[in-house]
Amino acid sequence: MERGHIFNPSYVLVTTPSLLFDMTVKPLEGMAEGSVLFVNSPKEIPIEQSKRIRVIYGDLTGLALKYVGKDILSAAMGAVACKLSGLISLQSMVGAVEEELAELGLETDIIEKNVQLAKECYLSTESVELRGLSHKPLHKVVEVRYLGEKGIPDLLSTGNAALRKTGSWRIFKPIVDKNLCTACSICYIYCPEACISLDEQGYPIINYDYCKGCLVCATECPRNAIKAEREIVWS
Amino acid sequence: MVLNMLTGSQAVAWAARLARVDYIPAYPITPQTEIIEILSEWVRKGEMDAMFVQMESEHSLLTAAGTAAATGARVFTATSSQGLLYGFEMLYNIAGWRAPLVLVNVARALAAPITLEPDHNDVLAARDSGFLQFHTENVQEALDLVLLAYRVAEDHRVLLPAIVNIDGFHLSYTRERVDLPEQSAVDEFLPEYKPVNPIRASAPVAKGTPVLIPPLYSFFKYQMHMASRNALNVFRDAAKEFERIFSRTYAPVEEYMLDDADTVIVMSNSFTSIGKQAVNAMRGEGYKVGLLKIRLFRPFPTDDIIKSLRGKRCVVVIDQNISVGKGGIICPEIAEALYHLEDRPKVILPVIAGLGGKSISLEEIKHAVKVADRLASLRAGPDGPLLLFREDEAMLVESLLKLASGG
Repeated sequence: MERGHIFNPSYVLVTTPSLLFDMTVKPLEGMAEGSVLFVNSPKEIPIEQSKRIRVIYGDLTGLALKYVGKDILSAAMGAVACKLSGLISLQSMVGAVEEELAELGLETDIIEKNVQLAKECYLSTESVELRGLSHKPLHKVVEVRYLGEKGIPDLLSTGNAALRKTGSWRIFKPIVDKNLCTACSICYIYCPEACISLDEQGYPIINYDYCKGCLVCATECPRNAIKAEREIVWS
Repeated sequence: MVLNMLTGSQAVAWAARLARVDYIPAYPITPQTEIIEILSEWVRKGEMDAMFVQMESEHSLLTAAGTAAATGARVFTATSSQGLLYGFEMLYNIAGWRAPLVLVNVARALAAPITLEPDHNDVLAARDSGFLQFHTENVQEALDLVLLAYRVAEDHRVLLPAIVNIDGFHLSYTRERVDLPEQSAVDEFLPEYKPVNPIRASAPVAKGTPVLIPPLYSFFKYQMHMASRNALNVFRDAAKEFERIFSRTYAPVEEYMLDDADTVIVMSNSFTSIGKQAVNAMRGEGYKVGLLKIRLFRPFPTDDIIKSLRGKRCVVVIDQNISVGKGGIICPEIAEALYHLEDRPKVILPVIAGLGGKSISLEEIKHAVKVADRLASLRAGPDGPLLLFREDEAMLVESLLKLASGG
């Protein structure tokens, strides 16, 4: 039985393409030569590759919106993983989705929609055989040095949350239609992340560096002046 | 035989259900909460005939658990990490009342700094309390050892509570193939709990009374110790019966490729699977290495450990815990078990790994084995515990420290 950290994955599936460029996540780290990367994206994304990795794209978010009406991707990603690796049959995959979602107490029609989504993802994905896998060089074991006061878990650079630009989390981007907006400032009050400021006339300005796309603003806007547009481009 | 894909949380909840427990005091804490969520749902739906009570803290939880067990109820409860420590005072009390119950600890490292990932400083803090301790490697073992723990704890030669440890995330949230036993088979294995001197409203009994006469205190502690030692043979007998009914074998320790090994890695809990993978890989490269897994930690299976480790050249004890200022908690116990043997190993190397869920790579295990081998060749002893760390981790830490200091 295998357990624990996967140091050299043969298959990597990335649900949110912006994670490809996230320095703390580094989803490509440890990928072996000849391994397979699946990215949930409707279009190709330029990825700097130092290695021979096969990249496959699929618009699972689009399919999830079509079948479930929401950007909920666990069944879809699971189905793609089953098919890519060629290890798990359609029947077993469907059984697993049904069982696991039933355990969560979801209603039958929601489960059925997820099964349809998973089936479509499974059938539209090709199994990819691994060719000529070669692993990364071994990790080196090092000695941990005593660092005195540097070794105390104090955070001196406080208030550093601004360094984390959360705009890459968005699936949908709220866009204000200035023709409909009455500058009532309700969106400004409701934004849970304080990402909306007001200009001199009182119209909202959304800071897309940090807006997570929760769409509370669009939901609360009494004039429906905030539209939700699906995010496609990341960098 | 019914095969299911169950998480560790689901498996131990099933064990409690199959054991027909009467009473479940509960309090949420990550990564334990899923267990009590499942049980509360089953009780609500009437699928389980038990009383489920949400307490206001782990101290109350353990107090309720122990007192209920003292009335003769079969009790199941679960907690993790800070929760276990918050209720710590009651561990010694429950053991002192000689009230058997089963507590599942879902291992999570202790604050500070705070984390959610596992190591064993939480469960090993309870080492001296009088609770029996079972450490599990996989989901099937987690389910089975809860059943075995009830049988051993409730045996009248033992009458002590038990902790079954499952690692947070690596077992609690990981689905594995599990043979879910039939209720009738569990009923055959686990007879009804027959309490000794249960507290009844009609026949009061005072438990845990003050003993201000020192010899009396000593006497009762010695009794507990002897009861715990009895649990070794009670466990062996129960495991035989378990094997007869369920066809799965459990000994106090598990040997992996030990026969011709000259170096033995000692581990416990879920990361043992990683150790076994390393043994497989190193065998492929010609290393004569094996692994010894400690399953029953209290009572300590001294005789089994002697049998497995005597005559070996090197022993590498990988402790996934740290007694700050000393080293691993398990290594000195292994060393003491082997000390008086003529054919004791040349080197017993203490190694610390996996703290706060840190991954252990093949290279780290291989490094530890090589260090032990070099010491044995030099006929030298270790300077202190080997603190495993990798270059990639050092680089990550360096960049995070820079960020934290604003530099």
